[in-house]
Amino acid sequence: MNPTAKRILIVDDNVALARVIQFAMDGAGFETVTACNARIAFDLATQSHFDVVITDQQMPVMTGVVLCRKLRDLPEYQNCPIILLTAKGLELELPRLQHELDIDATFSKPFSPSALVKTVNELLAAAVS
Amino acid sequence: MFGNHPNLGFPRKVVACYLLFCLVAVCWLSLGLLWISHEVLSSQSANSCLSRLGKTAAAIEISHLRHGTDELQHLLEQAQTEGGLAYASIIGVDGAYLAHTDPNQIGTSVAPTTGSLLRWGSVSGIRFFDQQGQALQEYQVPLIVNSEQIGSLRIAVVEPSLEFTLAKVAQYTPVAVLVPLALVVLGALVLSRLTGTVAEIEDQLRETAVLPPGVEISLTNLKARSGATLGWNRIVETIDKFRSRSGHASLNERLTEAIASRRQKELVEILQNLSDGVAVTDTEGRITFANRAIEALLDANSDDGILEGSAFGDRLIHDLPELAQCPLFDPDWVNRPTVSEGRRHGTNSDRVLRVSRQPLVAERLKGHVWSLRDVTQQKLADKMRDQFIDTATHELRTPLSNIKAYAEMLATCDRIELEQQKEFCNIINSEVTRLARFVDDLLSISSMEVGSLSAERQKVETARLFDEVLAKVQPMMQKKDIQFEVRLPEKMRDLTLDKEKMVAVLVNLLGNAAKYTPAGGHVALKVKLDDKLLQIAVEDTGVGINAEELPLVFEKFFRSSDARVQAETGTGLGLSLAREVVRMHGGDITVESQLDKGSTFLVSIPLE
Amino acid sequence: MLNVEPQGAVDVVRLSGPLNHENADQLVETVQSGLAGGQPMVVLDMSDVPLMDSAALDALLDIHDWTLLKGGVVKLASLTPLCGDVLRVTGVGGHFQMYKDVKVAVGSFVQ
Repeated sequence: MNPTAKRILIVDDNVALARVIQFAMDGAGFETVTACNARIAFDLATQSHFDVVITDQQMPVMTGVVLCRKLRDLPEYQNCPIILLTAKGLELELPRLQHELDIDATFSKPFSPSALVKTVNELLAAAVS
Repeated sequence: MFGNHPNLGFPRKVVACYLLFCLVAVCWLSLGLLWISHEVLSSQSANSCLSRLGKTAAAIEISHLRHGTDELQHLLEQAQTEGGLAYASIIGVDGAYLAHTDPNQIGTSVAPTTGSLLRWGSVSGIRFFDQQGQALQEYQVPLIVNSEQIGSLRIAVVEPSLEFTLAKVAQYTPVAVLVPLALVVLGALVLSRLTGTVAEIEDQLRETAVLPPGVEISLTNLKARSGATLGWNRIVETIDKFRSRSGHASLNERLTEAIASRRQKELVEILQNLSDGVAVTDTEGRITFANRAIEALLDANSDDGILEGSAFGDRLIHDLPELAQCPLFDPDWVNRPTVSEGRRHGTNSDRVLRVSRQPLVAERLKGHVWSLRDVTQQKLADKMRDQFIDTATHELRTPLSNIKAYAEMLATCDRIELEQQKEFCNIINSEVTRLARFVDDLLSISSMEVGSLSAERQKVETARLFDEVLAKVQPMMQKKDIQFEVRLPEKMRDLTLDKEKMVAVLVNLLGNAAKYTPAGGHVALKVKLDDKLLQIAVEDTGVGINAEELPLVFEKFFRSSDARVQAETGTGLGLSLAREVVRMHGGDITVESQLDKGSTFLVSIPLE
Repeated sequence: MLNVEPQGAVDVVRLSGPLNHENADQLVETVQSGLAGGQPMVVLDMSDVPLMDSAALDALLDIHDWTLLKGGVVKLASLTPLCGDVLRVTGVGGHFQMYKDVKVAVGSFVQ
């Protein structure tokens, strides 16, 4: 366990997908935690700090957008990079959401995990500077 | 002349001509009469003079013989009176008057007279004009006594002049001329009477001929005197009758009007029979026409039905409050065609109505035409389809995302261990299978819903059916170490079912039981078969379904939000499909469940 | 026995048992007053009706006329062969749209 490794929270009700993202992030040197729904994710986020949050949009009980809103209300997550995994069709609302919730990046499914890793690195680099 | 007189009609021309020619004839005859009389009188006077001459000469000769010259004057005067002579005279041989009716002349010598000579045998005569201008005829005859001429006798008569003749004729004129005249006039009267009716008819026709176009023809009845007038009256009567029936309309106009009113009735009937509601409002929004369907659509009872003259807009807003926000009631849109939808809260259920309004600009109508339609079913179908698409795409996208992610990892990552590579490939494989099954299920359920897929019922060996089912589910049961109890009836007669679909249903139910029952749990398949009914129960001791979700489990795509269910893969179509198939067989499927305890699915199919 | 099940805006009336003078009136009554208001959209599920008599035919015609007057429609579904023949021979069937399946009948209202 690398204490300096950045921690990533992965939220998706699709367990298999969460696992493969985790695999990709682990391989890139990050520390990852997965949650299969937003409620659990929010609890985890308040319990410990994460440097990046990757969340799916379409989830039962609580959607990714609502989770974002809730996180942005917390002071420690106001500037945290959040990536939204979306389904095609929600793109119509995205510009507004992105602006309103300050979502840093969106990926529409299906997507490439490597590209996701690359974006995470870029966002972290930007956050530092 | 008469023929071209503009104001005389033909019958009157006839009468005039008749009068003309008759009068001319009468005049001609009168003149002729006059002339003839004149000639007759003339010759008559000459003849009488001549006859008197002889007689007088003889008398004088005799008198001379007897009495010498004493009686001669007396004889002359006698002759003059008898014969109406102008004068008579005896001239002696010396050439002096021996006797003369004019006593002054006696003794004087005879003056010679000039004139035209006349001669009849031995009588000579002379025609001359005397001092007064009268025409005289003088005749002379020698007097011979004892073969000795003693002198000559001269007598003269006045030749009758035209005036004389006229005077003579005048006494006869009243009878001779006036009677024919009277007859002619009488004839004219009769003639004019005969042609009088024709004249009247002709007058009216002429008047009509000169009327300017567009002016109403007015004809009057005539006194019925002949067939012609009777016929005329009949025509006038008929024309009047036509006119009185329609005021001022011509026959054509009235026909058009009759056809139009019948057509209008037909059109109203047609509108009343439409299933769409049709209404017409005037410029103030008041109803001028509403068909039956409008009342039905707005669920108006006969009490507060759609009244003519009431404000349609108000009624609509009252029944469909959502419309208040629509362009329908935006003043800007008064002249634009608009279509809006509103929800009407009915007694038992809500209905969605489509309200379309078009401005009406016609010659005599201004306002709006409204069309109302019940689109509730369409809206529901749309909603279902949208939901379906949303869920279906989500369900399709999930395995796709997984396949892509794992495949890309395999392709790009160099540090994957062999074990993990295998695992990834397996995951890809199973995702593909899941996707394929989902697509199949989707297709099946869509076809079944539309009715294009139906149960193909054939005679099936029931035992074989269950064997197949068990063969498919045993591995699942074994893998999770589940106690699988199977209770089948001893005697299983053949049934008429769609084997393929029934097997799929049972496999699905048992598969669910296995999926949602934790390891070591219990699943039972109990089958009861009698003459009337086939009952199959699938019981498990799995996660169960909570009361809220229980009625929803058979809905398409429904998946419980229970984490334990979410953890398993599932399309949400299995139970809906099962229900469709069971219903196709005329049966039904029900469920009983208790959360955390387990569920029991019961399939009942009636048999013939 | 009559059972009314609304499917969306369409009312599905499921009849059980023979349709005759005993229950024909009840059917008419149910259709005319027991349904959702507005234009009537009705499917009669006849799958459980083995036979029908003249009173039934009268009732069907009454229902037909009433719905027509309101601009609505009544459709028949899942007729048994005997009922189908009766309707065909008497000519009453000519007034109704008939479907093999309730689902398809309900679906036809989307048009």
